[in-house]
Amino acid sequence: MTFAASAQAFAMAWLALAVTLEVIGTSLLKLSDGLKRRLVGALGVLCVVGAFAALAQAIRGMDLSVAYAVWGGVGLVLTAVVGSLAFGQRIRPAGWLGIALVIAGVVALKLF
Amino acid sequence: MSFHWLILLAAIAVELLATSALKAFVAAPVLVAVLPLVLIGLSFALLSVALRVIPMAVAYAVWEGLGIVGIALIGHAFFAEHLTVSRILALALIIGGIVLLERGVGHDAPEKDERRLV
Repeated sequence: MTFAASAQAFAMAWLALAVTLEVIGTSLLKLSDGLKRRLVGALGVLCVVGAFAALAQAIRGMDLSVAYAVWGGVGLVLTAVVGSLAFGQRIRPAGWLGIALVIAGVVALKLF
Repeated sequence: MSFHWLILLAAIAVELLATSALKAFVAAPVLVAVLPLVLIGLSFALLSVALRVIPMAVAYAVWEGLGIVGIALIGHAFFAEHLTVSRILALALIIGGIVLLERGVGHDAPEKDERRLV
């Protein structure tokens, strides 16, 4: 692997960590019931801040606008999937179409 | 424009500031690099106030839509991240997808659906 390629792989790994922490954080915030359950809410905020710190590492090796869009888009898609699997929230057809569009956009960002 | 929508817009503005600072301070000493994390905390505090009235699905769609456009423009203007046609199209796909996704997923318990879009 060349230096540039390994720097990019490194950035992608940090971005993946940022997305994971974001999804855990927003799911915990959802569980905290509007921050009424303070410990769960505090853990959620901690995860979101950790996600932001991981994003800071990712943008050393990639464009901010790409990292931010992938972070936001993939984060919301995974949050919806977690909501569907863990909290029984139904994803309607429009939601699935939205998920497909987000994934298409993220792939397009990485290809072009 | 109601109070809670102004708070949501303020939360987004602070988030854009925090994300830009993240990029600007990438090589800064730890004490300075902590500043964006403080700003993101402030942004989430504002968001939680906005969410008392604005439904989560609407807030997230507006948040990510404005955020992605804002960061793309800031990257173009300040960080030499040029907006090519293909990149603009890809970002539009993601934003359109987020709006559809937030319309097509039940975020809240039924009793919260009574909150108005004011």
